[in-house]
Amino acid sequence: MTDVTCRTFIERLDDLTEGRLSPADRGAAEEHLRSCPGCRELERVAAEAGDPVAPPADLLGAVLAITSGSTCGSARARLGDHVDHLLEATDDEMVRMHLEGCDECDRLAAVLARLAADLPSLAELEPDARFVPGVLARTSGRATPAAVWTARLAAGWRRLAHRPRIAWEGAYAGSILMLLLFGAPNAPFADVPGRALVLVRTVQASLPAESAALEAPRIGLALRSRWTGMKARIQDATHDATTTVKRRSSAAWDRLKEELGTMWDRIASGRTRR
Amino acid sequence: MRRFQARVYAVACSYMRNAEEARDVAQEIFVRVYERVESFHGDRAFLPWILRVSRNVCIDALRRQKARPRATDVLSEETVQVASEGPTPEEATASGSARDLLYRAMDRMSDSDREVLMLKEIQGLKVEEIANLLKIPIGTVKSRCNRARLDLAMRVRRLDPSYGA
Repeated sequence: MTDVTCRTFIERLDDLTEGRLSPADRGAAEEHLRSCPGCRELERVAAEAGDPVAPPADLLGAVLAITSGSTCGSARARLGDHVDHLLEATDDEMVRMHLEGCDECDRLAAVLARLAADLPSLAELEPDARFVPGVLARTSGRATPAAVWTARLAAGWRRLAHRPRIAWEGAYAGSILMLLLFGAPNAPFADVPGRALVLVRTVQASLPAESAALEAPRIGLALRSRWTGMKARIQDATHDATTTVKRRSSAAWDRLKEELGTMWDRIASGRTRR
Repeated sequence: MRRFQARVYAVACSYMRNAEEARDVAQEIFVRVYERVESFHGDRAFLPWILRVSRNVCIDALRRQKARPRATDVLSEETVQVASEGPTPEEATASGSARDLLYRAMDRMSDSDREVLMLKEIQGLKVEEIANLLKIPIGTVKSRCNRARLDLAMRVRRLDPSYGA
């Protein structure tokens, strides 16, 4: 190297100050120094700077600890996403660098990776053989939702009907309902009773007198015949019920007497033995 | 039913922590599904729907259990201790040692962590579906899930230092 420019000299300045140049290159560089005051000044400054100070080994960890808290804590907060490859490139690289220097976090990452593979296998757990028959038994006898609601309404009505004062309550509620529908001045059917009365009177007035006289005995006859039939049915039903009650009560009385007699005999025999 | 019975039973076990009760509750879940299947809209995924039903039934059962403690809950302290040290349902049926290890580790986690872990990592629901199911923000689901995974990893390491090595 015989012809050294300023650019070439600057590129080789570090090698020159640290003594790594070959003798030929060193001679050429020194020759350039003699002819170039700018490069001479540069060489002087570089020589005065001396060796650079090596940073302490834990400098990076110490800086991170001050600026972002525990490095392990920060890394662990991102460990799940690191295992799932969801981190951005920069964050992922930082976590990876941390794992290279931290055995504990590295082992945790390995456990997390294994968990990601193992946990989905727990999604299913076979129940025992009684399971399916049990479900079928509980669902096969079940009615449709409509039937279920009907049954619930019927049960509710039965409970209501067993209330001791249901008759009074029903009459009271019915009266209020009738009053609201027909009796109040602004009720929706307030004019119905009046119109019905007018209608009846109109029909009555329009009937001819002779037809009414003919119809009256026929209606009376029909009523009497119906009453006679109904009375006969009521008498028959009453007779049957009385007979049944007599028969059952007689049998029950006989059994009671027999059991009382047996009991008395036992008591008497016990007394005799004593 | 056969397609989802194992999954539903696993979910019931996760909530109830008792094999007999889990089986009863799982049966109740299917009865509830049978009754309410008309409320399922076909345009949605079935798994989140059935998991929602399962969760509701399990929570109802747990509430009933709290209101009316079982006979074993009021037995002597010794009996309870023996019962609690016995294997959980999953432990009893787990075939592999890894599964057994995971069940033991999860058994000691908090209910909320175990629930979100079960829904996301085990049942594979999406974060949005879990947020919708649990009625919590998506960010909360993510952070809770990360915390639960890390917690589980540390518990597993304590139980078996060779796991994952």
